[in-house]
Amino acid sequence: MPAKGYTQGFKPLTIMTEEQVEAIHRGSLDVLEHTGVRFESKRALKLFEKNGCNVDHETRRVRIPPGLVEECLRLCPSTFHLKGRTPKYDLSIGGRTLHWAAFPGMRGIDIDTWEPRTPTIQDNHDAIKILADLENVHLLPSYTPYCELEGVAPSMLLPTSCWSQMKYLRKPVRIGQAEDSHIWGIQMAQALGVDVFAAMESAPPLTWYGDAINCAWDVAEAGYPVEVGCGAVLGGTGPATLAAGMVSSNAEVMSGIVLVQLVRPRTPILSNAFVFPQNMRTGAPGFGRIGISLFNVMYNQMWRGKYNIPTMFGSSGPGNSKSIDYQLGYEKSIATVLTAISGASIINYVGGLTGELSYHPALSILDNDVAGMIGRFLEGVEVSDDTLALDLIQQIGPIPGFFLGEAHTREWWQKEQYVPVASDQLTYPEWEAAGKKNALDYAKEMVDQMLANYQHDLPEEQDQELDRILNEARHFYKKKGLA
Amino acid sequence: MSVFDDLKSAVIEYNQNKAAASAQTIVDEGLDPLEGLDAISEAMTYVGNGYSTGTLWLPDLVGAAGASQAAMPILEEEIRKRGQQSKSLGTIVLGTVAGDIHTIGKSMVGVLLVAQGFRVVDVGADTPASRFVEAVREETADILALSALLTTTAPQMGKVIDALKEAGLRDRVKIMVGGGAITQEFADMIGADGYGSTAPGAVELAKKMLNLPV
Repeated sequence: MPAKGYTQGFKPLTIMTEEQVEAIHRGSLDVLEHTGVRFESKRALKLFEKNGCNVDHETRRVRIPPGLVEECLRLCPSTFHLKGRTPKYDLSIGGRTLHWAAFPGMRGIDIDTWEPRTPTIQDNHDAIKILADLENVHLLPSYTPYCELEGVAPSMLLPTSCWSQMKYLRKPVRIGQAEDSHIWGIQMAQALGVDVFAAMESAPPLTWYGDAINCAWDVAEAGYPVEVGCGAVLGGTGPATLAAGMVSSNAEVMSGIVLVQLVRPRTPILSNAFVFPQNMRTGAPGFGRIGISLFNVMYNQMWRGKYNIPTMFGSSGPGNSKSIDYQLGYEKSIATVLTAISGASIINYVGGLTGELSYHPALSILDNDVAGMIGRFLEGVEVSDDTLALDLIQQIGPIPGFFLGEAHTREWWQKEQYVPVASDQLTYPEWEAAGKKNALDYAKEMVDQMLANYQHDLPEEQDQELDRILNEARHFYKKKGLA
Repeated sequence: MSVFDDLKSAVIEYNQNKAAASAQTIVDEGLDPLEGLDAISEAMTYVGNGYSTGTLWLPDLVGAAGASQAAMPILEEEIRKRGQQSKSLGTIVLGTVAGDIHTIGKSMVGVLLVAQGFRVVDVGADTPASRFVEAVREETADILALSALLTTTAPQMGKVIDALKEAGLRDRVKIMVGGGAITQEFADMIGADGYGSTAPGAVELAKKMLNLPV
C-alpha cells in the first residue's frame, strides 16, 4: 500500500482557454524546430543527429523536428512507482495525486536572531529525522534539507546529502546533478534496494550543461525516472511575459525529455518548473510573488492537462521573508494552494524559508500542517448516503437536538477535517495558562520530541555499505583535486 | 539642444542607436570626446540615482548601460587618437568566476560603478582565473571584483587570488568579492580585501578601497 498522498476530488483549476494552450504548444514546437536548444555534450549531439535532428556542432545547437518531440512526449508514462525503504513509503506518482516534498535551504537559521548559520552534518541528519516522521513529507529533492555543510567540500555536498537521506529518511529521494554525484546516488540506491530519480535542470535560456545531461543519461540507463526541469527568471533568463516564459520553459523541458527518451524509451519523467518573475530591484528571483502562481497553474494545464505527464514544483517552497512570520506564511501558502489545486503531482514545500538560502526543522513542522490542510481541501467533498445522513438529521431534529454525541459524528469528523498538530488551537484562558505559546513555540518543542522519539532502523550492514560508498566518493573527488 | 544633450538623453531613453549616432557626431564635428564621456556619466548618475531612490528598476539600469556602451567605444577611440586621458575614479576588472554562469549581480555592480565614474572592464561570466590575471595586468586594474552565486563555484575565487599571487600581481590590486554564496567570513578566509552584499554596497566598498570620498 503506497503512501497515500492526496488525490484531487474535483476538476483541476485551469487558467487558459484551449486555444491559448494550443498557441503555447505550437510556440514551443516552433522554438525547438527553428531556434533550437544548446546541448553541452558531444554524446548528446551525436544521439540527436542519429535520430534526425538538425545539429550544429560548432554552436552545439540542436533543432528538433516537431514529430520527434510529440513522439517522445507520448512515450512518457502518466504515472510511475517509486520504491521506498519499506512498502509504507512507496509512492505512486502522477494521475490526480499530490505528494509533498521538502524544500532546501543553503544554511540553517538561528531562530532567536534569524541570522543564517552553516549547519553541521549532524544538523542535517537531525533535520532529516524530523522529515522522516512527518506525515506530509513523501520524498526529498537532492541537497535537502541543507545544501551547505560545515567542513564538507563543495564537490562532496551532494554525495554527503544523499548519504544522510539514505541513512535516515526511508522515503524516495532525488539524486544529482552536479559533478557526477549521481554515480554515488545510484550506488547507494542499489545498496538499499530503493528507487531514486535524477535531477536534470536546464540553464535558461534554452541551454543544457554537461552535468545535467550526464546525470539524466546515466540515471535513465540505470532504470530510474528523471526529473526534467526548467528554471527561468522571467525578465532575466526568460522573457518577461508569462506566455513567452511558458513557451521558452516548455521548449527547454521538451528538449530534455527528447534526450531522455532517446537514451531509454519510456523512462518515467517528472516535468519540473522552478520559474519566478524577476525581482527588478535586486535581480534575485521574485520569491513569493503572484507571478509564481500564474505560471504554475499554466504549467499544470500544459503538462498535467495536455501532455498527461506528472509535474513537480519548487517555486512556492521559499518566501522572501527572513523570519518565520506573516509575510512568509502568505508568500508560501498562496502559491502552494493554487499550484496544488491546478493538479501538481509533487510540490517541494516543507521547511524552506528564505530563497534557497535558509531552512529550519521547526518550519518543516508548521509546513507539514499547511500541506495537510491543502491536501485535505484537494480531496474535496464526499456526497453519499452516509455523508448526507438524512436519517440522522431527521432523528435529531431541531433544538434541543445535538450532534456531538452521535456515532456518525465520531465516525466522520476527523475524515472531514485536517487537524493541525502544531498550531495554537486553545481558548484564551487555556492559552494564558499554557504560557501564551504560538505555533512556532509548539513546533520548536516538537522538534525536540521528534528527535528523542526517532528510531534508527537501517540494518547495520546497509549502514556500513553507505559509509563505504561515501568514502569511495571522497577518494574520487580527492583524486580530481576537488575534496 | 547640443549633441552632448542628445547623447545624455539617448542614454536616459535607453536608445543605443541614438547614443552611438550622437557619439559619432561628436567625433565627426571635432568636438571634445571627453565632454561626451561626461554626458554619459551624467546620464548614468541620473539613472543610478533613480534606481537608488526606487523610481527606476533593473531593466532601466541595464537599458542605460546598453546605450552608454554603444557610445563609449566611439568616444574612447577618438580620445586615444587625440592622445587625451579620460578621467575616471579608477579601473575595475569585473567578472563571474569559472563554472558560474550567473551575470545579473555582476552586471548590476558594473552599471552602478560606471555611473559613479569608474572605468569598468567586464570580463564576463564563467571566467577562468587566467583571464582575470590577464585583464588585471593589461588594464592595470585598481580593483578586481569577483562574483559567484553558487556555493560550488565560490572556491574559484580563492583560485583567482592564488593565480594573482603566482603572477606577482596580488599586491598591485585590491580584490572585492560578492554574490549569493559569499559571506564576510568567506571573503576573509580566501584573503579578499572586501565583501559587498549589495550592488550599492559594492560601489561604496570600491570608493573606500581607493580612499575616495563615499
